[in-house]
Amino acid sequence: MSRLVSPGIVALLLVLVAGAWLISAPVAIGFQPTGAAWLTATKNDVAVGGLLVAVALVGVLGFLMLALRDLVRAADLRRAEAEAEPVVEG
Amino acid sequence: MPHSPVGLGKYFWGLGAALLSLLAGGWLMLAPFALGYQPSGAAWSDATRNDFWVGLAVVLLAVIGTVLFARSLVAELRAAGVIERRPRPEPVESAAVAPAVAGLPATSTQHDEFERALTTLAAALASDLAERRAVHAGNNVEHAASETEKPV
Repeated sequence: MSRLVSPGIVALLLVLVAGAWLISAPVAIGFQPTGAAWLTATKNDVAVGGLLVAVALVGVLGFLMLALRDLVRAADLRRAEAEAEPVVEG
Repeated sequence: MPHSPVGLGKYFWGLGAALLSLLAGGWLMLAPFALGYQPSGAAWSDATRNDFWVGLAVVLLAVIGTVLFARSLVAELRAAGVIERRPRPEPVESAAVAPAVAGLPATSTQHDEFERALTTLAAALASDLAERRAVHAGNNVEHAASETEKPV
């Protein structure tokens, strides 16, 4: 039987963490002076970090939603099969 | 009407996200040089170091994620019977005889061929020996008969 959640989800969650780090890195590392106009490196980091967070979130949530939908469909199918079977009285 | 229980969309969703992450990670590694905030020939700045190593980590994670989602997809297809399961290797017929021949691995194909050749050779030798014995026995009978027929 295949797993309900693919281990690939863990990789996407780590990508999400990397994206969050990228957004905060210019200030955390200190190459972006406080109050000054954003440097090119800062703009790039925030844009790519935001993209990574969005992609990872959409990937994880989409996967979980579709997995849940599959579970509901499988349960419907089992119920329909159980109702279709004739009741044997002993 | 009940739907099919095989759901593949979620794996393609994950694969898509992993591939987009791969592209973003690759861009992150190249960005300091492409956007020019890392002067060529100079020591790497903090921004460059951070972008390069985080980009590399994202690329690796994306590759691992792609492989894992693809494996899950294949496992789901296999469970649904779309892809046939790999046939298991059949047990070797002569496994019981194998310990008799010391020093040779019991399950190897070479050993099987060697054993088959030995069996054929032994059968040929046995039939040849039986033939010779029959011929020899026939000669002895003829010789004894001729001895008894001689006049005294």
